[in-house]
Amino acid sequence: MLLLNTIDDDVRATPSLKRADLLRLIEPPNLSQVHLQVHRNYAFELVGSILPPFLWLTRLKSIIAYGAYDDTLSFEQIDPVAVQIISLDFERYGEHANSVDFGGWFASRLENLRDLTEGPIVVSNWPSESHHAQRFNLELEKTADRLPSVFVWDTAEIFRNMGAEFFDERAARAKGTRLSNGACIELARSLGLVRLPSVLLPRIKAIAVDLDNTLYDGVLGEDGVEGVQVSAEHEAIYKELMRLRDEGVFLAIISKNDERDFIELCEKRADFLLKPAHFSASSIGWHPKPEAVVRIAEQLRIGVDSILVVDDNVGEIAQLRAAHANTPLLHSQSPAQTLFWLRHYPALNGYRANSTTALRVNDLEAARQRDLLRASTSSTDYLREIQIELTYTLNSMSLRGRLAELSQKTNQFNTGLRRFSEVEVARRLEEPGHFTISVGMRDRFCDSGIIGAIFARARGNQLVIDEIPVSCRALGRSIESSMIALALAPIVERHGLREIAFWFCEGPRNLPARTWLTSFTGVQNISDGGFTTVAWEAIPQLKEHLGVPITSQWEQTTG
Amino acid sequence: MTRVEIQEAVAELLSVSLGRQVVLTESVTRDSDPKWDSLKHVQLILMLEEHFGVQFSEEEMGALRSSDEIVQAIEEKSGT
Repeated sequence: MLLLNTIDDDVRATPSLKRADLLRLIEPPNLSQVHLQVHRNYAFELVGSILPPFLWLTRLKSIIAYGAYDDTLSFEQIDPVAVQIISLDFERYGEHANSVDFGGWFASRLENLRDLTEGPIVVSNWPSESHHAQRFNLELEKTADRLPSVFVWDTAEIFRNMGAEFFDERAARAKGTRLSNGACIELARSLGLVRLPSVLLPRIKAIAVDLDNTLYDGVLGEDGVEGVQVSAEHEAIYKELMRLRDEGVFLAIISKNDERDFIELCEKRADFLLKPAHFSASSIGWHPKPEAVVRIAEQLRIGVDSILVVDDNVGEIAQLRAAHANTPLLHSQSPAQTLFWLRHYPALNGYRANSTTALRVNDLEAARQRDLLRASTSSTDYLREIQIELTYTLNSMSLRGRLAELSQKTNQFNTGLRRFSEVEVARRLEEPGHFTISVGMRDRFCDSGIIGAIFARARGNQLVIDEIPVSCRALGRSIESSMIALALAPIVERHGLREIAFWFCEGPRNLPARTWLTSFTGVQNISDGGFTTVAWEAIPQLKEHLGVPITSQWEQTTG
Repeated sequence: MTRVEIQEAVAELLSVSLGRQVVLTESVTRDSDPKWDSLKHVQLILMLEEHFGVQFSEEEMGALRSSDEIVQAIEEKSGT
């Protein structure tokens, strides 16, 4: 996680934020550069000039390149390493923008830009109440879903929130834009805190929240269950936390309290909307907070640097900062401020939902139940008992986002570490002779969604495996070999292939992948940065892998 | 608001906009400071509007070309 690790009493959360407040902020040291190339037809500079202070929170320094105003979106001289940003004043197109063809023209320009670069494309929608704009924005959402790595920047939502104050026609010609100063600030805040971090950074996986003076006013141990105060803003915080949980972010309690008091609070206070079942992990007791966050990370099976800790106690925030330099921290100073940051904390919001993300939260409890079952049965009985069902899909364009996510984020069971981008995945999906397989898994305890991928291609009589990433959520059931053999078998047979060549690249954390590859191929010296080749029929225990008591099926590609 | 208070605030906002220290007694003009380009000028006007709660017309924006003219315009708009 690349975040500056403490967000404290921060001017960036001020509701009526001023341009001068932002420009007075001092750039922190040791920022990484991110190149942005802006395609616009108005003075985006009034947004771009105040974007850096927001991006600094993600340790990024923006280098912005502006082309000339270009209503035609001709996309000349594209910087291949830059994030492309398209932001237009759609009113400049007059009646043309209201025609049905306009949406099609705009989609074709996006397709053109997509062909010119592999980097992310961020495109603002049309901030207007007109039905033409609403129709355009719906079409734009569909186009962004269809094209890899294209993300809509929802400026229409900012317009809805600001109403008439969004535009200031008074000196539009002198300023170069109809946007008001307030709108420029809100646009920079939205782009810098939410949209760009969600495009550039992996998502925070869990939020660990303190109880006293964070989720309510008061101290539970002193004021008692009936004495703590829950305000409307606290209730809004509960709803934000539950929204994030629904999107797949784990919730945890990190508190110096008596756990029985917390349970009683949940049972007796109807206005405390959060219940123990909402929390996937907890450390409620008298452990120092740096130790407590490690306990939570262990329970969630994630790293401490993937957990955002929210706490009102400045001393404990300081302890956490000293012990875990890369753990994102939020010093909660008021319910309003906490609520703001739950909606705007970089790398927490703005991520595209997929069918797998929301399933993660249920997977953890299922893993505990599996562990209990495994401890009490033999391995064959265990596999029968948990009733695993695997679903394979070949070359499904609709899954490209999840496939790229697996390639980019999987560290432990990742054979090739090729880190395919969504654009590269999309290209492989269409390339003849390439086989990109998604693996879905469910068992009697839960549906884990798409948990693995195989990026393969035919080369002569070989099936080359460029990368196999398997989510750590799927590990521990001892079925990796069967899962992969069952996926490869029909491709090997249908295309008359004889050998499997696994590309392997060693990384800091992919020992589990190497161990598996050694076991699967029987080759002891796996070459780093090279191919390990084995005849298909010579794979040790191939028949056993293919004959395990699990159900597998191939799903028709839907797109 | 006194003239000195306005002068202080204008000097501070000019410092923020131009990225260098502008002292109270310094008279800065657009022609004399190459950093005072059109973007910085618009930003300065927006910050002056935020700070003093005034509004400038398009014509006024173009006409303001020095720190002294800005101070005078704000005095007139705020009735001090």
